[in-house]
Amino acid sequence: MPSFAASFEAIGVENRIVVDAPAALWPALAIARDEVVSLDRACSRFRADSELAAVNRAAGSAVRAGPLLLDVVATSLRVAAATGGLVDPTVGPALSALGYDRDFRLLASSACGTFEVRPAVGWRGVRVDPRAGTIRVPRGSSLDLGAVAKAYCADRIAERVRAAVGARVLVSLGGDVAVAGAPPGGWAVLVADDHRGVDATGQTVGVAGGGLATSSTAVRRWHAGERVHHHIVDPASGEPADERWRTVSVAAASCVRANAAATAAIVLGDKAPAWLEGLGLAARLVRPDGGIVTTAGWPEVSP
Amino acid sequence: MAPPLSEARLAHRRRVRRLTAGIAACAAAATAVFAGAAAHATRESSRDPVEPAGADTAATPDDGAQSFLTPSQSSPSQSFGPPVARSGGS
Repeated sequence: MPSFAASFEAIGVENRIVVDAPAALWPALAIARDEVVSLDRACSRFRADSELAAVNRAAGSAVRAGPLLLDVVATSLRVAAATGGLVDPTVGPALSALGYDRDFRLLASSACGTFEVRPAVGWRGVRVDPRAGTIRVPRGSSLDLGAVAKAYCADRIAERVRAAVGARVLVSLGGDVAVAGAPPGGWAVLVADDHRGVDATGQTVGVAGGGLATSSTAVRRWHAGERVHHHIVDPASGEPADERWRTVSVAAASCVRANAAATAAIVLGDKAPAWLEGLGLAARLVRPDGGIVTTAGWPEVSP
Repeated sequence: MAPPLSEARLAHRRRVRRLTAGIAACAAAATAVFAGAAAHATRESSRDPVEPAGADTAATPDDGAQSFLTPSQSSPSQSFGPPVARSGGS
C-alpha cells in the first residue's frame, strides 16, 4: 500500500507524519505542526515564556495553567505512579545540576565544567487541580516533561488526524511513534539507537496500532568535567541511569505508555526484561555490547 | 526455743519488710518505665526522622503498572518492507 510522508524539525527533534492517502498529507501535517507549536509553548523547560517555565519559577505556589499543560502534567504523574517513580517529572533540578540546563543544541556546543548530583524531590509533592486549573510544584523542585510530552503529543496528533481527515496515520515525534489505523501488516518502522539518520542498523517491525517508543542512552550525551552524562536520570539518585541497556524499544497501547515503559526499563536495569514480560509488553532491549533481549512477543529477527 | 520477740523488735521487722517491698515495687516500676522507653526508642530509630530526597521513589514499579502500562492490541510483527519511519532515542 502506498504511503505519503512529510518531515519537519521542531522541539529539537525530527518529526514525521505518514498517511495512506495523498490528499490527507497536508491537512495532517498542518495538524501536527499546530500541536507541536502548542506543546512547545506549554511544556518547554527552556523557553522562558512557556507555561511550564512559569510553573517552575513559582515552585511552592499554585499557578494557573492551560488545559494542555494541566493534562500533560497529570499524565506525567500517572506515569510516575505506574512506574513506581522510575519515571518522575521532578527530575528538573537533577538534569540542571548535571549541566542540562539549556536547550540541548546549546549544551552540546559548549563545555560544562562542573556538575552536581541532586535526587528528585519526588512526584508525590506535585499538585494538579483541574477544577481550579492550577499546578503546584514543591518548593525547591521543577518539572521536566521530556519523558512524556512528545509521546503525549504524538498520540494526540494521531487521534486528531484520524478523526479530522479519516486517513490511516503514523506520527513520529523524535522517534516516539503513535499509530491510528494502519495498512495490512502495519506501518514499517525501523527501530534504532537514534531517531535521526539514514542507516538501516536495527530491526524493522510492523506497527498496526497504539504506540512504539525507544529510549536510548546513546543519544543526548554531554561532557561535564571528566564525565560524560546522558539524559535518562534515575530520580532516586539524581545521576544518569546505569547503562545496562543502550536502547530499549517498547510497543504498547499508546505512545505515552510505550515511552513510559521504555524509559522505566532503562532506569530499572537488569530487572527490566522480567518486568516488561510481566506486563505483557513487547520490547527489544539492546545491551551496550549489542546483545539483544526481547520480551512478550517482540518479533524475532528472521535469518 | 527462741524467746518471744519484744513488741519493739516486731515493729522494726514490719518496717523493714514494708521498706523492702517498697523498694522492690519501685524497682519493678522503674524496669517497666525503662522497657517502655527502650521500645519507644526502637520504634523511633526505625522511623527515619528526615526523609531523604527521592524517598518516595520505589526501587521497582508497583501494581499500578498493570492498569496503565497496557500492551498494544496488536503486537509488532516482523516487517520486510522499507521503513516509513524510525523509532530511536532523542
